[in-house]
Amino acid sequence: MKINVESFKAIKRKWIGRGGTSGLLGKIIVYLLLIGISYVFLYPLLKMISMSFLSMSDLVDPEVDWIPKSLSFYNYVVVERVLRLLPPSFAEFFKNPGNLIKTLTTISTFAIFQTIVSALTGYAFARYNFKFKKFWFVMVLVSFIIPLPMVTIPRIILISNLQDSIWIPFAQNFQGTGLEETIPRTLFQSNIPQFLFTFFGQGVNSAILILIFYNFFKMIPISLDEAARMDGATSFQVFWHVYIKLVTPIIITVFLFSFVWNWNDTYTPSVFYSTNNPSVTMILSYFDFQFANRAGTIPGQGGEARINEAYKMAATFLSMLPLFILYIFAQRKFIEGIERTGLTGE
Amino acid sequence: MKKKKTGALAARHHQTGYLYLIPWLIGFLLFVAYPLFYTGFLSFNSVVKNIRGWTMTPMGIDNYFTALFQNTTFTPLILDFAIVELTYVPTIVILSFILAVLLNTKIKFRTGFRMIYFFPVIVLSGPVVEQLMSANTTSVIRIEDILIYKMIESYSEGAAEILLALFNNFTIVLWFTGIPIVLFMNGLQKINTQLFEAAQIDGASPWQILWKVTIPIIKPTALICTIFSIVQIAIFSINPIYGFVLTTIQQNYSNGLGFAAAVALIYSLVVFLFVGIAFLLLGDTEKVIVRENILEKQERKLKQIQRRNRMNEMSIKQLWKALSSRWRYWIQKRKKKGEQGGPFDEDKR
Repeated sequence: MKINVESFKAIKRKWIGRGGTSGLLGKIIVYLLLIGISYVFLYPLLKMISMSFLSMSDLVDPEVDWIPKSLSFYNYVVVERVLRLLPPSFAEFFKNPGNLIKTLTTISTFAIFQTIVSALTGYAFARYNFKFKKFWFVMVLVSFIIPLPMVTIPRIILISNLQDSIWIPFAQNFQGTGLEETIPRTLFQSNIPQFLFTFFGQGVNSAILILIFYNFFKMIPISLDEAARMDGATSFQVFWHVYIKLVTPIIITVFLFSFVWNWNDTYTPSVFYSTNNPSVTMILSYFDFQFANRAGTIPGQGGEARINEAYKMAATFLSMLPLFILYIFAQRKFIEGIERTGLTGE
Repeated sequence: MKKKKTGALAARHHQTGYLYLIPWLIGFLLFVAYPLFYTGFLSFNSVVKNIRGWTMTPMGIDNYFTALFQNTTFTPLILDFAIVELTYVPTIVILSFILAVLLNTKIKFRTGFRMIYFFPVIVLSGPVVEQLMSANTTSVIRIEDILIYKMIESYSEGAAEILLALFNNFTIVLWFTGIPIVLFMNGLQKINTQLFEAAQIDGASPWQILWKVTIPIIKPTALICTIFSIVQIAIFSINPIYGFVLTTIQQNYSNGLGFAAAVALIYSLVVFLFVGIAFLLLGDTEKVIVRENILEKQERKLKQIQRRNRMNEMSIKQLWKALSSRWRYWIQKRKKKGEQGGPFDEDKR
C-alpha cells in the first residue's frame, strides 16, 4: 500500500504542529496536566464537603467512599451548636447576634481601617517626594519580611503597659453601666490590640495592600492633580476628589483582600485575644476542645455526639463558607489585585 | 533619575506627604522598629511582670543557652523547620512556574483554571489546614506504596522521611502556589514577544527558548515568589516551630518572656538566613540590572540576538570584516583608556 506523503504531513501538522502546544497532542497533554493538578488542588475541599455529610456509621463503613448512604444535615446542626454561628433565638438577636454576625462586623471594621490606612500610605509614596522617601519605602518591604514572632513580645509589653496606665482607669468609669460587653476591663480579652495594629498600618499583610495602592496611584496622570491644584484645591481635596474617586475598583479589591486575610489570620488573635474570641476561625482552632462541652445530643438519634472527622469537616466547611461565597462573586477582583501589586518588575 | 531642582514652595508641598504617612509611620516605629531592637534586648534578660510592672534582670546569654542546649524540643524543631523550608519552597516556586507556563499557553477555560488555582489563597488559614490534615484529606498520593519510594527508603531513611513529609502534605504545598502563579503569569505576559521570535529565527527549540530566554528574564519574579513563600510558610501553622513559638509566648506571659524572645530571635534568624540564601541564588550579581527596568533588559537581550542573527546571514568575508573592524576599534579604545575586557564587553555592559 502506498503511503500518501501529503496526508501523512497533514496528520503530523495536526497532531504535533510546530512544537510546543501548537499541535493537538501538546494541547491534550496540557489539558490533562491542568485538569489533574486541579483535582489535586480541590481534592481536600471535595473530600471535606463529602465527609461533612457522612454519619457515624458511614464513616466506619468501608463501602462508603465519597457518597453518603443517606443525606442528612445533622452534622451541621451539631456543629452549629459548637460554633454558635446564629443567635440562640430570634428575640435575643440584639443582645447576642451570634458569632457569625460578630465576626463579620469585627473583620469588616478591620478591613475598612486597613484599607483607609493603606490608601493614605500608598498615596504618600506615589505622589510626594518627601525626605527619606526611599528609606521608608524599603521599610514597608522590611516590615513584610520580618517574621511576626520577632516583634510580638515587645508588643505584648507595650499593650500591657497601655492597659495598666490608661485603659483600666478609663474602663473603670463604665463599671456597672451595662457597657461591660463593649468596653472590656482588660485589653487582652478584646479586639483592641489587633485594631491598634491595623489602624496604624501593621495589620495582616499591610505591605502588600500598600503596594497595590502605590502602583495604582502611580498610574494616574499627574496632570489631573496639577489641574485640580490650579483651581485652588487643597492637598486633601485633591486626594479625595481626584484620586479616591478614580480608584474605587481598587479600593474594593483591597477591602476584599484585607477581609479575607483578617478572617484567616489566627496569629495575632491567639496572642492577644485567645479566650472567648467569637471569631469563627479562632473557634475552629479550638474546635476539638470545645466540642465536648457544647455539642449536646445528636438530633434524630439518642446519645451524646462524640467528635469525629465528619463534624470537623462540617465545621471547617461552615467556617470557610462566607469566603467561598465572596470568592465566587469577586474572583476576578482578587486575581487583578495581586497582578497590580507591581511585584513583577515595574 | 536626576532630581529636579525644586523651589521652596514645591519642597514644602512634598513635605506634606508626611501628613498622609503619619498613621503608618507611628505604627511602624511603635510596633515594628522599636520591637525589633527591644526583642534583642529582652532576649538577654529575665523578664518578669509583678505589681510594679515589668522588670528586667540581665542574665547574659542564658536564654540562648537554655533554648539551644537545655530545652529538648527546640533544637529538633528548628531543624525540622529548616527542612520544611528547604523542601517546600523550591517545590512551590518550581511548581508555580510550571503551572504559570501551562496556563500561559493558548487554551480554553483559562480563567476557570486560574480561578481554581487561586482559590486556596482565599481559604488558606491555620485552623482550616489543621482540620483538613487531621481528617487525612490532604494526601492524594500514597507514596509509601510506590516502588521508587521503597528504593529511596532502603538507601537512606532520612531522605525518605523528608519525601514522605512533602508528599503527605502535597496538596497544602500546592495551595501555597496561588499567589506565585499569578505573579509568574504576570511576569510571563510582560516578556516582549519579539524576543521569542528572534530566538525562533535563530533556530531555538521551545525547550531552549524556555531555558535561555524565559527563565533568565523571569528570575526577579522568581526571587519575589521565593521570598514570599519563605515568609508565608514561616508564619504558617503547618511548620513545626510555629506552634512552639506561640505556646512559649502564651505560657510565659507573666514571666519568662525573655526566653520567648530568645526563641523568637533564633527562629527569625533562620528565616532571614533563608531570605539571604534566596537573594544569593536568584538575585542578580550585576548591580546594573537592579537599576534598569524589565523592558530595557529585554531590549538589550533582543539586540544581542539580532546581532547574532545578522552575523549568521553575513558571508564569511563580511563577517571577518565586521569582526576585524570591531577588534581594531577595541584595541584603539583600550590603548586610550587602558581598560580591560573583551571586544564585546561593552555590549554586555
